[in-house]
Amino acid sequence: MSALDWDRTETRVALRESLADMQARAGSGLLEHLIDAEIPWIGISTHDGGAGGDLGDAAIAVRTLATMELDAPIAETGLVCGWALASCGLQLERQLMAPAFELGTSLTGIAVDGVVRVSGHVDEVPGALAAQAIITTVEIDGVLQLCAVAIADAAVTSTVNLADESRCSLTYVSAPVVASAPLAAGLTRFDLLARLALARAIQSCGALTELRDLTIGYARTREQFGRPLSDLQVIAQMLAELAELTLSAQAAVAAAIERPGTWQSAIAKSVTGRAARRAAALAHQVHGAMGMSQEYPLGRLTTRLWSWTEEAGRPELWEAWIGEQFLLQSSPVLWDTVVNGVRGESA
Amino acid sequence: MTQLDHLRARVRAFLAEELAERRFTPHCDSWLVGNDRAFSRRLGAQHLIGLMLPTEFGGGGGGVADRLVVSEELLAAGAPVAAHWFAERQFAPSLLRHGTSAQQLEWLPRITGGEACIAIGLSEPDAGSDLAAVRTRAVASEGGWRITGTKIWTSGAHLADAMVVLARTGGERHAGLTQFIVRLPNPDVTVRPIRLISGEHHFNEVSFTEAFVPDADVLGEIGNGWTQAMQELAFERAGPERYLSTLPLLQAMVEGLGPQPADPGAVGRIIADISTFRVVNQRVIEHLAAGDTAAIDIAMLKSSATAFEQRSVAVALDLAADPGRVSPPSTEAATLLRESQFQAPGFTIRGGTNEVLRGIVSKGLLR
Ligand SMILES: Cc1cc2nc3c(=O)[nH]c(=O)nc-3n(C[C@H](O)[C@H](O)[C@H](O)COP(=O)(O)OP(=O)(O)OC[C@H]3O[C@@H](n4cnc5c(N)ncnc54)[C@H](O)[C@@H]3O)c2cc1C
Repeated sequence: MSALDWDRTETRVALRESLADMQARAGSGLLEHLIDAEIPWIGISTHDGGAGGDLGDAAIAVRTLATMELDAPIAETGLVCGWALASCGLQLERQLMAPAFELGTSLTGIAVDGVVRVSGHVDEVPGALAAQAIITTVEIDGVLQLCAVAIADAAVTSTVNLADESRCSLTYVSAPVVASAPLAAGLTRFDLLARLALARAIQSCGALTELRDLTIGYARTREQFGRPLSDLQVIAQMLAELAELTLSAQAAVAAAIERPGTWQSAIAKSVTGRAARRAAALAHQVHGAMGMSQEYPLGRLTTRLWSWTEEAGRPELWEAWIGEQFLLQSSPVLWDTVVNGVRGESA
Repeated sequence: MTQLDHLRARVRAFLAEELAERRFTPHCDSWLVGNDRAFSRRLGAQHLIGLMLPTEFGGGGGGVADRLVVSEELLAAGAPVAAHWFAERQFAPSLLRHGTSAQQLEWLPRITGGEACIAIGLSEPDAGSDLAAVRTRAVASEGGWRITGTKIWTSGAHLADAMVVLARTGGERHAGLTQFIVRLPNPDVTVRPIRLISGEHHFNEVSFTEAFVPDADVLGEIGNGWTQAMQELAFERAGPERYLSTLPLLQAMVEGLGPQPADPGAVGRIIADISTFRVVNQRVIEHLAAGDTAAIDIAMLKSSATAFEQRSVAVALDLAADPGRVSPPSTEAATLLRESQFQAPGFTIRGGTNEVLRGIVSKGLLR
């Protein structure tokens, strides 16, 4: 469809194919297959207890899984939590992890006899039903620490997002941390949220590409007035807009994978989220009533896109952040910021 | 520093000096409205025109990425590049691909020197989006051709050294079209101004009355004009002038905005969008350079980017009215805003309307 659709390097194509193959064979047991194949730990170096590969590899897996029948913390484990732990010199071997990074989330910690214990409440934690530990920040003796806390130690209230993906609330009362380290120099809670935002952007990109193809396919086969919907110019123009939106999401995500960091992640979250909102509306309009049916695959994509757009900072939050960072410079120059980013973050 | 970083630094140094010497005033849409031959010559003297053209013609012998760096820096600064823009952007690659060696020897060094101003003669009164309806005719005549007909909306024809004219040499619709290099001024060619809603004169109606063009000025093959024109359009559509036309305005509007405007997200979204179009552009021209026509991606880029340009003018109005401003927009900002409001409707029309572009996209998607 577009030259930017997928990374066509050999190993990445192979990874996509093996995931599709796993899905075909595994059905509802997909998660076990993914764990056996170490998919959740792709992108964390073997030195840090991961499965190796880089962010680009992890992104391919995350993007591919984004459209599959699966609710499990794959992106959350490696791409988000694994990265955060490795950045702070920590590792949790072969565990599934759930990030509690949403702003407003907070646990308080105290160290007693060398054991850190945490209490408090965190909301909207993705993947907590399947994971073994949450990763979050806790202020201990005035220092912000990155901590892993066992989910088994929490009282869990289960809720779901629009796409029926688990987003739990967890309450801790004096639970021991499994691992902790001061947040690496230069890393803030915002940077952690940005990493989760990047994961959601990558997932959205996968869902958008699928949404575009599904909608094009439907428009070509559904006939009204004696011809396919796609023969109607107004429908064809909507399909083209859908493709434009997908292209911009793909480009923003590709740039964020090439130059990871809060700046590009913020851009990617803004662009994919804006694209997702409009694309979902277009796709539903083209589908008519069919798109509203639970049996038809469109709803699975649009509900995910709606939720992922609002989670991990909605586009407006990241746009305000980008704007503020830009305006905080002494003589802000738009073009230079587009080319070079701000505060040492590369554009 | 990479080679591209060095190149970028060179362009910035050149622009800084030009601005320090007050040799130009930044404008929006400068690639269409900023016709300044002296500027183009100075740029050529710095070897900053034709970076992807062969060195034997005075070019840089580089790749598309080099030209993109130079182009985006010039546009972002609102520099007056219109005098050489069309020549460098589409006439030069067309000459390289289809021109005779005599044509290449004559024109390419002039282009890289910033000495060639070229106008594009595609649209006619009855052939706009439906370009294959072109009626301007060229009839074979002793030693060449005689052209009769009317071209319209021809940007810069009143300032150009030549105009590349798409004319019918036979056949119907797409078949039987040929490109001619018509030198200007010409006694049998009348260039009449068409004033824009702003009152400014940038485009024209150009009438040909049996205007003679020697065989040596036929561009490419007789009957191959449609294919050649479409190749040129790819270059015309896939460039940073599709998302940077309003950058001088946006920059002027953020000045005085202060660190805490009511809506910092408006600025953030602009940065996110431009950054993303830039990535699409970089990738698309790589595909184009690799010989892929990339027509669908290019159409998507131009359609979405120009829609952004139009939206950016609305954002500029919002920024001007932001209650958190530290100081009101400068008089330069007000002028740029006014100019952009006049130019904005054309963003999604020139070079093929967005509806036509989306038609190309959907055809490609449904193929
Ligand atoms: C600032 C500016 C500079 C220009 N400079 C040049 C130049 O230097 N040289 C040159 O040759 N031309 C130039 N043009 C002309 C430009 O290429 C044409 O305006 C453009 O191709 C559209 O043609 P038109 O204006 O005749 O509009 P029309 O083709 O009449 O279109 C009018 C409306 O109908 C829509 N429409 C038409 N066909 C279809 C379709 N099949 N499906 C859906 N909608 C359709 C269009 O999208 C548009 O909204 C310039 C235009 C502008 C605005």
